[in-house]
Amino acid sequence: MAEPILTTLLLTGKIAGVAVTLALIAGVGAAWVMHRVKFPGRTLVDAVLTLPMVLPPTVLGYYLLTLLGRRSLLGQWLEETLGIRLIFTWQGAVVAAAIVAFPLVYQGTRAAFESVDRQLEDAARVLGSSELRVFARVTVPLAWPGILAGTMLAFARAMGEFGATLMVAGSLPGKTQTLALAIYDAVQAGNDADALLLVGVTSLACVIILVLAARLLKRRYP
Amino acid sequence: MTLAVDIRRSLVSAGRVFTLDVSFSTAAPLAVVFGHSGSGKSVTMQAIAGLLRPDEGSILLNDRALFDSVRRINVPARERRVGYVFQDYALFPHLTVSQNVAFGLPPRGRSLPTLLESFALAELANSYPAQLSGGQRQRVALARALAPQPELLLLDEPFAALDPLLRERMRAELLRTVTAAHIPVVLITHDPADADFFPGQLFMFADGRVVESDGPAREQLHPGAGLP
Repeated sequence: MAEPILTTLLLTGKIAGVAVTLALIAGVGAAWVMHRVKFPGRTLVDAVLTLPMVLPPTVLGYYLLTLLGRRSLLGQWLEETLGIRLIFTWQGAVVAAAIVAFPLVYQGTRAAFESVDRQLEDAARVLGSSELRVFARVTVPLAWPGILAGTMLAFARAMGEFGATLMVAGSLPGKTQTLALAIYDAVQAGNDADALLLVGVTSLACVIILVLAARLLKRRYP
Repeated sequence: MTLAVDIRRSLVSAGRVFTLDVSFSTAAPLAVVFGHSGSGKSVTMQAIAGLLRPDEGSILLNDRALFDSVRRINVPARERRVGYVFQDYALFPHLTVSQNVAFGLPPRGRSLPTLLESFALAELANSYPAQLSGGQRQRVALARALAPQPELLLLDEPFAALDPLLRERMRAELLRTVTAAHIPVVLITHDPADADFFPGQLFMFADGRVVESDGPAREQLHPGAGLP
């Protein structure tokens, strides 16, 4: 193995963590708009927002390369004005992971918002609350278990992201090589012992995430 | 208090069109709206509270326009100063009794402990709604609705969620509470016993219209009573 396993694990955690934070903000925002605003073409917008969940990751990778590559307008603008390069960098891996993780947060949150009793939101309005306060004090606290469950799934998905990440960020040990990519490399190189260790670490990390999610979910009001 | 409602609204549910066409006004401290479920009572209350927008018409509370389709006025629910006690109380399940009651309490409003005390809720302050009995929940819902000192209180089937034995006791308790609060009340019910018990002006709803008010409506409550 080119890099110690801890480096790969920390890099994976960093990429997945930043990606899910971005997906959480965007996913909750999109879910709220879709929940509250009725406009023509909602079904189409919903389908587009869910697309990264069903598209093959290589298709997403291709889109991202075309959209963010050095020859694209957006890619040139990012590099020249903000100094951000997304191709073959860990930031690129974050973008890929955030996009595949987004639909899980979005769908989970939207379903959670729909399940909140509308009468409770109305009760808050009648008591003088602004829409922002209704959202913060009633909708989100009641939808929280669903939002959290979606976020945990999104984190697991981001951690395991392979196809789009490989195409956008490559598999550079210590730079962009996450656990999922390192396993592939180890198997290709015939390093069965390394592969086994990496697979074990990945499985353990996923079990810990799921147990944490279940414990967080249990802390409910009576 | 004067409340003048004159609204129309079409609702489509399960392919059936329901037309609400309601016009009534009251200056009584207590008005009872009686009608079967589906007669348009709840929809009318929602329109007064600002939770449902009529297609056209006007709603005036103490000469303040809450809604007026001609003048393009539609005051948002949060600014109407209309209290609402929902049929199943709609208490916030994730908040304690005192957090529920404090939800609409203005920063420089009445003191929360005094309010809880006056509704006999002081000892339940840290309980959650799921831990309360039906009668206790109703007291929390009333305290929460009255905390912001609304100009009008709407009570939607306040006894439907209670068992019949408790209903008797809670009617008297509710009447005492709303009389003491000096806030005008519109109570809606489908139970003739409620309409009998509460002394105020009576409006009878059917098929989205006000069909009778006061004297004739009271007689309609017991259609067989006058016959030999």
